[in-house]
Amino acid sequence: MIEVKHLTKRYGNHLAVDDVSFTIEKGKIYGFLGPNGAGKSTTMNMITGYLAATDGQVLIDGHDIFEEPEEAKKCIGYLPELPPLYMDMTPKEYLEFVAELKGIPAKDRDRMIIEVVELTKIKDVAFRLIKNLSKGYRQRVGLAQAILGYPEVIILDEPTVGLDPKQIIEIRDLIKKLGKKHTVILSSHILSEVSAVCDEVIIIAHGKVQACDKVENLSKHVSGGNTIELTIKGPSYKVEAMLKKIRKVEKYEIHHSTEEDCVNVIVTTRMEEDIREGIFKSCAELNMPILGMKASNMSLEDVFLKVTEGKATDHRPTDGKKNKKGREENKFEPVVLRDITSRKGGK
Amino acid sequence: MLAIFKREYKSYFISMLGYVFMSILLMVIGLCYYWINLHSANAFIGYSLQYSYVTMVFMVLVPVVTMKIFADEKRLKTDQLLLTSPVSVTKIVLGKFFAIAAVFAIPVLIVCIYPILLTQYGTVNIGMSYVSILGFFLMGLAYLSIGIFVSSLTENQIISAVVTFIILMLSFMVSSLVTVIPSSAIVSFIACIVIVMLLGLLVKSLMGSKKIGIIFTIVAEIAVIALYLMKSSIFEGLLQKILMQMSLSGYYENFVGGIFDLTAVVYYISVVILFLFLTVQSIQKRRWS
Repeated sequence: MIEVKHLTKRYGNHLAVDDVSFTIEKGKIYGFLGPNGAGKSTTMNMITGYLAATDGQVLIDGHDIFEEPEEAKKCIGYLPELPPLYMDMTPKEYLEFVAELKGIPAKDRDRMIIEVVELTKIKDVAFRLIKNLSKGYRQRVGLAQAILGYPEVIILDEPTVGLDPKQIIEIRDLIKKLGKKHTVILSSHILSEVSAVCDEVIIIAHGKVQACDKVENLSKHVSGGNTIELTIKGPSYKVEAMLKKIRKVEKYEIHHSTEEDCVNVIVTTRMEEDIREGIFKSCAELNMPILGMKASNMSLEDVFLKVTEGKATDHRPTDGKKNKKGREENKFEPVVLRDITSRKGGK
Repeated sequence: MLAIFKREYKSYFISMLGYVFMSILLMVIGLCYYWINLHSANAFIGYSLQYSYVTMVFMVLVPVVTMKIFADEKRLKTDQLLLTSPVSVTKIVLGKFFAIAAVFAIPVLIVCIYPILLTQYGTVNIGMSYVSILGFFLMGLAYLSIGIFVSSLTENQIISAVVTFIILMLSFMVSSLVTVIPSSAIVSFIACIVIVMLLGLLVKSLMGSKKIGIIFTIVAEIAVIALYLMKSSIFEGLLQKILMQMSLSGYYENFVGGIFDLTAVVYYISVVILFLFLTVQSIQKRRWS
């Protein structure tokens, strides 16, 4: 469906996208994953023909986006990072404009607009000015625009940013629904979203494709540790002594718990080891009740961190244009990941 | 193209910009026409359209009406929608140009009523009147296309408006400036050298390549110098001639007298085409940088 070959984008001295190649098959949902400034949006902008590539080729259904842009663009519905909305229009007027722009025959227009309005649940606001709509609704109007006319490929750049949890779930369900008939590419730096929605994941960092595979296969790529989170009732020195005795423990951290007389422990072992029973028995011997135990296997975020980490130092924005992205990148790691773990825990 | 035309045209009447443009233009033309009729009993509309107030107000109104046309799209990122839709850049630019031309056509059509109204009170040469209105319309289109081009260069509306105004102002002042510039060959020669350098800068920024800009400048400079050494008489008065070509309002002189000036028609249409072409190029170029 989409073939990307050696795609490269250079801004002055800064290499935003570096020799990216991948193939996208029909009828699947693909996730573009990467930290901010990794080149996700630039890649998407090139696939959709908004930006020209410094080098390389993009084929959409056999049409080269740079050679036959009009044919290729007909197959694509695109929701950029910032929904491209005209503030002085109502969603209905806006969708009518987009339908005409996309060359949807006049007789189908009304029907299709009604369908996407219902799919994205913007019926209530269809006659209000877009500038008066909240961020969530604007995002949905943008999404309605992208799926209008049911193009074969739907490309969504961070479609759930700025939405509340309920809306996020709704949008994800919608994307899954769309994925049955269409090819969907969505970008995100929220890992739980990608693992919940996508069939295949393409991890991009520092302008390069770092990994590209099915979600379940990805964790096999990277071998790492197995982590167990514990809450044990007992003094921390006793817990520490006990953990030292268990040989399979590679690393442990002990924190104070909010509960009285308890400690929180994070224990890491090698991938194949399971020490839960061992810990239970040791604790039982010492008469220290285990109040909580949770095993977290190698998940997508670990794969993601593993794949993207370690190269951050050689990647520095060089020109003024990229400074903004550079800043975002700095604040990315701790904030987003904490957010994900907490959300995952809640599920 | 039709979709873009319709949206753009409507947007002028949602945002009041269109009303402001039309009403102020009509008010000034109306007042001048009234005033000239009372004072000199001259019912010919050409003089009103060339009257200094009209020219000044028009030069302010054009930047106001064109400033947002591409600058705003870029700022709000709606250009991403247009450029990823199956519509070519040329069609986008043409759609927008025709929308703005249609907005401008409304006051011009209303002005067309003025001569007819005055036939009640005396004889008015209708043919001559309409020729000068046509000339005014064409000149306006040339102004607007310059504004469109400037708007496509920036994402800041204010910069777009100010730069457009300065260009129109310079083009207006050129015909008076010419009279105070010496017409000797050496002055024209130096001016040519400077113009070529500026062109080189333009080429560099449009092509996005330093190399091409430098090569262009060097080749053109050598050509200018060689020409000057071989035959310096060409350069006599050349600067005046070049500058006069830039005077958009200068070409309107004949229309004022009611003469259908084909050269001026061709000139205005060429200016429109040139600037629309440059607009397309500047948008295309942005995709590459």
